Amino acid sequence: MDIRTYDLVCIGGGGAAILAAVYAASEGKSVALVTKDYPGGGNTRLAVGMTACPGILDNDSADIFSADLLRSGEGINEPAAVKTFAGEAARHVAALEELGPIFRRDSNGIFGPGVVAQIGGHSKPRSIKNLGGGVSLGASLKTALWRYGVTVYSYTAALELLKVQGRVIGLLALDLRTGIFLGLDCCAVLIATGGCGALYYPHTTNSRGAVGDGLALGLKAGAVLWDMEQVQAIPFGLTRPRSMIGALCGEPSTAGPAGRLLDGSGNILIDGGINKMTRAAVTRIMMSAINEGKTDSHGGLLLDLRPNLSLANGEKIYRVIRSNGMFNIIGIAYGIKAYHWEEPWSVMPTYHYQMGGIKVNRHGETGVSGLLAAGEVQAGLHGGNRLGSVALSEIYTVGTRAGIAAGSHNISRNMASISRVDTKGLFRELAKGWKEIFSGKGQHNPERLRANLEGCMWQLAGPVKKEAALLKALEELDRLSAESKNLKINQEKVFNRQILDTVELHLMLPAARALVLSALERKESRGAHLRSEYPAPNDKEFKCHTYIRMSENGSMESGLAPLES
Amino acid sequence: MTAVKEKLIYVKRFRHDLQEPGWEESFNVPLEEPATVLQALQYVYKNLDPTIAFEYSCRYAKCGICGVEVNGRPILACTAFLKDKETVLAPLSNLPVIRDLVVDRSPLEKLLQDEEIYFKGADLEKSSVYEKAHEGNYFKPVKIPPGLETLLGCFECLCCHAACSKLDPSGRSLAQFAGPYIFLKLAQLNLDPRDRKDRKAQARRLGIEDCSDCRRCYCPQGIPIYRLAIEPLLR
Repeated sequence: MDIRTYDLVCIGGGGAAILAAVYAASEGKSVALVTKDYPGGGNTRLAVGMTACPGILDNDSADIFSADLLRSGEGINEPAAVKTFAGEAARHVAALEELGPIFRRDSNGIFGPGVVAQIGGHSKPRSIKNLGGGVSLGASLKTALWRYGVTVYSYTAALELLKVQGRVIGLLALDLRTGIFLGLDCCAVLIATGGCGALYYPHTTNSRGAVGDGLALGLKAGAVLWDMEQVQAIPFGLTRPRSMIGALCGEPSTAGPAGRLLDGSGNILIDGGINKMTRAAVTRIMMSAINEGKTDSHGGLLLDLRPNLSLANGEKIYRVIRSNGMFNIIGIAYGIKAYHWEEPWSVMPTYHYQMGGIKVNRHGETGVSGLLAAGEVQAGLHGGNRLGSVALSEIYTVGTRAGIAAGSHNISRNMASISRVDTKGLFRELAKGWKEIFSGKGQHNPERLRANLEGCMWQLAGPVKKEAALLKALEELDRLSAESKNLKINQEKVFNRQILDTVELHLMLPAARALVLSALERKESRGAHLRSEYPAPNDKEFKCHTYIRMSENGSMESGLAPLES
Repeated sequence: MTAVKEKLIYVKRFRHDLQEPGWEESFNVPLEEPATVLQALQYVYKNLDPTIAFEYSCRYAKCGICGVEVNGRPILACTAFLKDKETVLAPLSNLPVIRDLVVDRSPLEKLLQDEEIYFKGADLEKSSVYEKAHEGNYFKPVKIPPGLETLLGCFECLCCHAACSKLDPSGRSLAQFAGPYIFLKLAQLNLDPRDRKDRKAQARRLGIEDCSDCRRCYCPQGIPIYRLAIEPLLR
C-alpha cells in the first residue's frame, strides 16, 4: 500500500470538490483530490450551464433571492444557510471567471436583460449561462487544479474514512487502474461526491457514478444526514433506447404553454399549462398513470408539444425553448420529427437532484472533527425543492466557503496524541476487510446485485411512495446486504468494472437504506417527497428535518429534528 | 414491446500484463432495437464477459467520455446505433490503451499542463477581487467574439485526435505535433479576449503548420475544427 500525506483530501470530481481543493490550495495547503472518475466530471459536466446570479440586473437583490429559495423549499430549508448563500452567490459566480469559465454577455459585453433568464420559481430574471455549458465548466475547472498544484488521483475510489479518537485523519482509497490500495494521511477530508440519483439507475439524469457514496462515507464516520427523502424527480426523461432510459429531455417549462400530456392510449392527462406547474406536481400525475399501467409500449406517457406550434407565436416558443439545450438528445433518440415537435415524445419521470444529504454548518463543517462536506451531497440549503439554475451557484459558493474553511481553520494535526498514531497499520487493517470482499470467491455478481438494488429503489421507493412498499424495500435491502458479503468477482487488476461495482454497491446499500428510512419518517407530502397515503403537507408535525445517524455497530437510527436557524 | 434482435460485435481486447498485441473477440448480443453501442457493451459486461473494460458516464452525449472506434470511425458509444451488419469496436487510435476499450488520456492532459494551455485569471483571494458595478454585478465587461461559444462546447471526447491522419504515435512526439484536440484548446484561448498569451506562437511550436495542407479534421459533435480552430491559429 502507498501512503501519502496531505493537509486536505477532497473526494469528488465535480465543481464543489474542485473549488474547495483550489481555494484550500490557494491558502498554501497541500491538497489531494480523489475521484473514481476524472476531474471536471460528475454531474457538473452534465449541467445545462444556467447559473443563478442574484442582483445581476438592477431590480433584484440577495433578499429577494432568499425569499424565493425559502418559498420553494416549503419550510424546511435552513434560513441561515439560505441567507449566507443568497448574500454571497453573486460574488462567487463572478470569481469563477478567474478560473476559466466565461458567461454569455450581450453585444455590449455586459449582462443586459437579453442574456439574463427568468427561470421557473424565481421572481426575477437572474440566471446567466456560461459559454459551452457543463462540459466547458468541467474542462476549465480541471485546469484550475493544475494551476494551484492540487494532486489529482483520477480513477481512484474512496473506500473508507480513517477515524481515530473522534477525528477523521485519513482516507483509504483504491486505484482502479492498478488495483493498488492507497492510504491518504491528512488533517481533514472534504466530501463533495454529489447526488444520489443513480441509486435509481437508469431512471436518472445523473452520471453513472452519482450513487450517494459520499453519504455512506460520511454516515459511517459519524456525520448526520438530513432530509434524505428529498430527491427531486424531473418529469421528462427518455424511455428508449435502453441505454438512454432516464436521460433528461425536459422539465415543465419545456412543455410550453400549450403542450399536453397523454397516456398510452391517447387520453389527455394534462391539457396545457404544464409550464406553470412544479416538477413535483407533474411527476405525481405521471406516476399515478404509470402505476395504473396506462403507458405506451415503452412504459412511458406521451408529451405532445404540437399544440404550441399552432399558436400565433409558436415558432418563437419553439426557438426559445430549444435554445436552452435541454432537449438536444431528442433528435438522436427519437428522430428529427420529434426534435421539431411534430411527433409526441415518450417520457417518464427521472431522478435529477438530491436536496437532502450531510448536515453541515455554513462553513461546510459536519460536526465530526476533520470532516467537511460541500455541494449536492450536503443538506440544508434547498429544503424540499431546488430551484432551476441554483445548483451551479451553490457549488461555487459552498465549495469556495468549505475550501477556505478547510484551508484556514486549525486543521494542522499537531495534537500529540494523534500525530503518534500509526496510520499505516490502521490503513492496513481497513484494507484487510476490503481485500476479503474483493477476493470474490462467492456466489453473487456485484453488477447483478447493484441492478437489483436500483430496481428495488425504483419499484418500491420511487417518485410516489407508500408505507407498505417502503417496508418491503427495507427487507429487500437487508437481503442484498447479506448477499453483498458473498460476491463472485473476476480477479483482473487493471480497470476492473466489477471492482468498481463492488465498491459502489457497498456504499449504495447504506445510502439507499438512509433514503428509505427517511421516507418512512416523513408521513406527509412536501417538496419532492410524495406519499400516496398522505397527499398534503402537515406543518404541525413535519415542518422539520428528518435525520439519520449510524451507531458504532452500524445500525441506523432515524427521526425528526427541528430546524436549527 | 420492442423487438429483440441478435447482433454480432467484435471487440478489440488488450491487456497490459499479457505481452501480446491484443486480440479480437466476438460476441452475439441480443438487443432491443434501436440499440446503441453502449447498450451492447453493457450487455456483454453483465451477461457474457465481466472482464471487458470500457468507460461511460452520462449515457446521452453530454460528457464525452465514451469515445470508441466503431468500424474504424471514432464516435461516442452512447449515440452510435448498431446497424444490421457486424460491428467492430476498437479503442480510440493515437492514444495508449490501458485495457480493452479504455485509453489513457494523460499524455494530452500532461501536455496541456506543461505548456500552460489554460486560462489564468487573477489570483484567488478570500474576498472578491472585483469592483462592484452594482448590487450583485461583480463582472468585468467582456465582448464575446463569434465562434467562442461553439469552440467551448467541445466535450473532449478525443475523437478528433483519434481521427487525425497527421498524428503518428510510433514516430514524432506530441510536443512536435500536438494534434487537433490541443489546437482546439489553443484556439479557445486565442479567441478568449481575457487571455494574454501568444497562442498562435504556441500552436506553431506545437507543429500546427502541418495542418495547412489537410483540412480533414473530424468532430462527432460537428464543431468545424479546421475553420474555427486551425485556420485562425495559422493566420
